[in-house]
Amino acid sequence: MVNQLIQLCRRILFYFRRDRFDQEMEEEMKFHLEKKAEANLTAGMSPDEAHYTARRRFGNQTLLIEKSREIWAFRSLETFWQDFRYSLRMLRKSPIFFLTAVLTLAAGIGANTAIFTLLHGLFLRELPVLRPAELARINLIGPIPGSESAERGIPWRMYQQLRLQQQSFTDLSAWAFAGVNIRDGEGVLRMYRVTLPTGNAFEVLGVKPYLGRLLTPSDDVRGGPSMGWPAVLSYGFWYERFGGDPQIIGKRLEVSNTIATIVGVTPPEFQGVLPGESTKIYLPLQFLTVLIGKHNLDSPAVSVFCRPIGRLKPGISLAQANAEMAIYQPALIREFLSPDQVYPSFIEKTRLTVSSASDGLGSFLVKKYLQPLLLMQCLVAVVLLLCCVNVGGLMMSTVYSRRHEFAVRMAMGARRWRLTRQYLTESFVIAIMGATLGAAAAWYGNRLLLAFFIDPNDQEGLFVKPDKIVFLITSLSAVLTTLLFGAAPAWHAGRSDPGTLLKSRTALGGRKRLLGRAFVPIQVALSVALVASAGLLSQSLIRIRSEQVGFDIGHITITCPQFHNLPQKGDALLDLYQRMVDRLEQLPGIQSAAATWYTPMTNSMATATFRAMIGGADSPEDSRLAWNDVGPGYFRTMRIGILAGREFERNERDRSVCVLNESAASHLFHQQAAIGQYVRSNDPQRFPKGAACRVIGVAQDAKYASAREKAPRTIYFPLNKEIGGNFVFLMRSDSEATATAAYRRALAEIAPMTPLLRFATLQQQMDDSLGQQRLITLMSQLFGGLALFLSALGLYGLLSSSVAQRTSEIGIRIALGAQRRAVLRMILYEALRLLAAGVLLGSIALLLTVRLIQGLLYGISPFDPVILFATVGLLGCVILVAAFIPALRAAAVDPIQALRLE
Amino acid sequence: MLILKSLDRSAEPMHGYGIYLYLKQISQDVIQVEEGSLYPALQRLALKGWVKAEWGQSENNRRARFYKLTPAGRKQLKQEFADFERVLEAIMRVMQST
Repeated sequence: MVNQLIQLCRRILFYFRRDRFDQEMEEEMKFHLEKKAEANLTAGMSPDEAHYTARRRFGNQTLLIEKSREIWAFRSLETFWQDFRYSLRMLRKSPIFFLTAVLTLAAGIGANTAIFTLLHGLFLRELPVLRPAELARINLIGPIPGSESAERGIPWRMYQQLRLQQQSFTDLSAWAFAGVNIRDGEGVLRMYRVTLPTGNAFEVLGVKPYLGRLLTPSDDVRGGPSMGWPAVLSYGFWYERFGGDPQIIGKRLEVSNTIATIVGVTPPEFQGVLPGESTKIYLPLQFLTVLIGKHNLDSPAVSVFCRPIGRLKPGISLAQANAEMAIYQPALIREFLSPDQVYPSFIEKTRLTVSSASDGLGSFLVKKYLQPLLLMQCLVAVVLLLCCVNVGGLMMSTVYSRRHEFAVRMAMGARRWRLTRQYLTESFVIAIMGATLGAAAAWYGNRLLLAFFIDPNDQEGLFVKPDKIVFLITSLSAVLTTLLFGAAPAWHAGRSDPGTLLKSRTALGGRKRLLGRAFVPIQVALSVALVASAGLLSQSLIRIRSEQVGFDIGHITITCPQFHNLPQKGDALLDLYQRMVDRLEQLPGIQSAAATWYTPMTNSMATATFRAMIGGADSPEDSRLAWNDVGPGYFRTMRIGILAGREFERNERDRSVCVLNESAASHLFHQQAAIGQYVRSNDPQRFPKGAACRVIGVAQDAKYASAREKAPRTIYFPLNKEIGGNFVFLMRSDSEATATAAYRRALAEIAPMTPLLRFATLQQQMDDSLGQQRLITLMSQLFGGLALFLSALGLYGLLSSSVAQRTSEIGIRIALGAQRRAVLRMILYEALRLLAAGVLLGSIALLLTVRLIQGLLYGISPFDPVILFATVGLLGCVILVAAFIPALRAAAVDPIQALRLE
Repeated sequence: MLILKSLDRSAEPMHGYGIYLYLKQISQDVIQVEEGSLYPALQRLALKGWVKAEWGQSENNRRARFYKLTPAGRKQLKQEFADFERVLEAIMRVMQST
């Protein structure tokens, strides 16, 4: 071992005297030769003979020096370095080839890295805690009407009982989530998402503090510990809001009008237990009493749900834990779930379930995006494969043009493996550059991609940073691609036969590569499907966005003040909204303002059944109408025209009056005038009071849930006390900034203790509601472009090598009198044949694709002739350009040159 | 081993040609190899640290590289010689037993 180390040192030292080494060897050998020659001379040889014999007996001096040098050098490394430098030289010589190959691979690897980073960051990452595989979460899972069976956790009181009873876990902890008001750096009150774990929760996870301490059981007591409530900051929040102040411990923080003391900071890698939803602050679970204004969470009258996470005892499986839960389930549900908390059907069918929490509590993101992301991952993997095949084809064509060089090298004694290795090194250089470029692109592109999934305001950013695993995967894909695209050319290079090749350049010609040939039409087919889909989807998006929505969508800023958290209730709360609206309308820049319950373009709306009362009697049939509660000035602010009657006034605050839209009015009352008639709801769950209301106005039709759907029949009521009082302000102004400034001023005057929440414009809301459509459209455009590029590249590679192979054949044709134009045509025909086969295949592929995207198309036929012609035309142009370069090369073949080499 | 041995026999450091002459003489021309292959062999020994090379003046005042056995080289020679003897002994025993 020591000896080897010393040898290694000697080898390294050798590199410092490398230049001297050869010279010294030569001198030493010269000395030997001269001595020998002298001896020969004394033995009676002539001087010439003496030198010659000495030399002959000595052997090949150069080879011997080389051999001596190799003893010292790191051989494989040196050869690699040689190959590497040679590769760089070769690649510099053909920059177009190099650039194309690198860019292609960069696109492939970049797309893979981007998607994988997202997938990994959002879904595949385990919590950065102690032995995450042992963690498990407990949930009541059952059908909840109107929503998917979201995981809601279990009631707090049930959790406490369960924690005492259970035997499967070393300990159980509970997590709750809430919004609190905290002043930001500028002193403006804002709402932040906080996590409220039980005192033992960090211990159960095994998280260690970055600074100070984390929460402990003594923090989590009713009414708070005697020193006041403690708060733990997340690393991100500490860094952003407090500039990473190292003296933060012991500072005070006002949280929803309560003073808390900062006791610690969580480590940067710990982002809470909800993947994709980073938290800012951790407070003890008992802090909920402050937030909901109750003194005791344990009272049966308080319905608080929490999300339990426990650490399974060693050797206990999830199945065993589930079996244990099944025993407790009936008694727990009987005691702690009451029908006034949840739906009766939920109680009947619910099950207490234990599942793995190695990745935290799971989040809405998983349900919504896991599948599309996985699908996309598969897609980009296929794209990478295509990229490899194409670059491989491109390299193959360089093997043909360089086969002379290889033959010469081989004739001079290069081994096959050496040539193969040379090519692999070249491939590796390309792959590494592609991977680097791709990773860099993915790094920046990820933010864009992420914006489709998560509100930019909520991106703490940290959790989708590429990490070790992502880096590993990228490097791995670089190596893999090297093997994939480099193997075939390398093998061919190694197989160059010096004898036949040096004699004739056509030796490799004539062999058809069927696989390579089949690949081009397949890629063309793929391009047809993707490009046509991209065209259809883009057109749909344009049409949706330019669609008449029935109101003036521009220049409206919206914000939801969360006034329902204030102590004011009932009429006082409605007064508050009205005062805000009045004040807003006085402020400069605000043309009009209003409050409303639902805003349009959120992909959701409220519906209920109603009956028209004609002549005092209910009409026999139910009509399902969309409905909304809107404040005075709503129609004015939205610029929805009032066709008859009037809109609501400020003294109208219950559902005794209503406004119908045009289609609702004509549906309910047919040809008769609707004004003055009555409508009654017969939906007791939604409208328990069920009173009849008088129609006071008819408004123009306006779209409601999304721009994709046509305007529903809608009934509008005035804002009223019955629906909880969480409304949204609409402000019409020239710019969003004006509206924001005015709102902040009005809020400071009228409700200073309310946090400032995010603002959006209706246009943004509409764009967000089209998020998935935009994502898919963008993806289809990207992939369409890529597919187009790849098929051009594939064709180019194929034709180039075919032209190179057929050089002498073409030479003979020209020598025999073929027109250059005919040669050009010959190559282009070959391209057209491949194109035609591809388009034929592509129309089948398109038929299948159209089924998939049919639901996303809007106002356009899936077989829109313009799009189809444009697709084929575009494809034809790209293919012809790609074919033209090798075709021109073929036409430029000099017959004399081509035949002389024969 | 032969190179090491020839260096061991000589008290003075030897140059390559000297080693060649010595080998030629004691083996009485039995060993016939390319003379030059001596030099890569010497380099291999130098890398292993068994010989040390230094430039010096030859008999007729020409610059030449002289090789000297190092303590490690001496140890190696002893080891190799012991191994060689053992093998030889074994072969002899087999040959004599018939």
